[in-house]
Amino acid sequence: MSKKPPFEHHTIDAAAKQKAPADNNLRKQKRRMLLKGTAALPVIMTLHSGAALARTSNLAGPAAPGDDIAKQNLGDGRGDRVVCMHPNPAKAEQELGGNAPPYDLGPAPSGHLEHNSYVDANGDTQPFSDIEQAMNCQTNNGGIAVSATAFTSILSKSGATIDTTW
Amino acid sequence: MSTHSFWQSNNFQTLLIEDWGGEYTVFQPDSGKTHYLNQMSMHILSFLNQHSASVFDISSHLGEQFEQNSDKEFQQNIQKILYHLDALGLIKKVK
Repeated sequence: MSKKPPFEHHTIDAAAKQKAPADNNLRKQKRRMLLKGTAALPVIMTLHSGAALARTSNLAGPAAPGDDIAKQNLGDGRGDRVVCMHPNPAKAEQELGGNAPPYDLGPAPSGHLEHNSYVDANGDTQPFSDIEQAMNCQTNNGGIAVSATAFTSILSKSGATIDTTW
Repeated sequence: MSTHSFWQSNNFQTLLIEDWGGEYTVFQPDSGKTHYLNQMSMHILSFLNQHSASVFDISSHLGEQFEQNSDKEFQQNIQKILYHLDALGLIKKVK
C-alpha cells in the first residue's frame, strides 16, 4: 500500500500553489524541515484567519459588510477594539481620481470616522457608542477597521488628519 | 486508556484537501476552519474514511506504513491525536 493517503483531491486557487523561491527564504525552509522532522508523530494545527490576525494587530485592515466586528468590540478577548474609518473623500479625489475605495487611507493617512454621531429627535448631536460606530464597517458599505490603538497612534504621532464629524 | 472505542471520519467528503508535498492543508466547511496536517495525521484521517478502527488498529496500521514501532507510547500519542481530531469534528466515535 502506498504511503500517500487515497483521498479525493479538490482544487483550490491555483495561485496559492506558487511557492516562494527556495534561494530567498531560508527561514521557511528550516521551518519546513522542522515540521517534516516531526513525521514520526501525527501533527495537526489549526490555521487562523489572516484577517482576524490583522485586526488584532496595530495595523489597519479592510473590513467588508458582514464581518464579525461586533464580537471584536464587545471585548470577548479576541483582540483590540476597532473603529470604522473611510478615506477622506477630498483626498481620494486628489490622489485617486475620484472614487474612494473603502480600503486605502492613502500614502499620508487621512480618513473619516464613519458615522461618528447622529442627530436625535430633539435635533441634538449625539455620539454613537464605540460598538455602534465600529458596526458601520459591518452593516453599511464596509470600511477600514482600524484598531483603537492604531487609531490613537495615528492621531497623536503621524500627523494624519482625522475628521471625526463625518 | 481505552482501546475499545472505534473511530471513523466525519464528513470527510466535504473537506477541501490540498497536498503540499507530504504536508496538507484541510479546509473544513462545517467549521470554516483550515487545518495543517502532516502526512501521518492525514493518513489517520484517510484510514478512518475507509474503516472504523480502534486506536490499536490505527497504531498498528501506522506502524506498518511508517515503519515504526507501535509501542504503548506511540499508541498514547495516537490516542491524543484522535481526541484532538474528534474535538475538531474531523472524526467521531462509533462504538
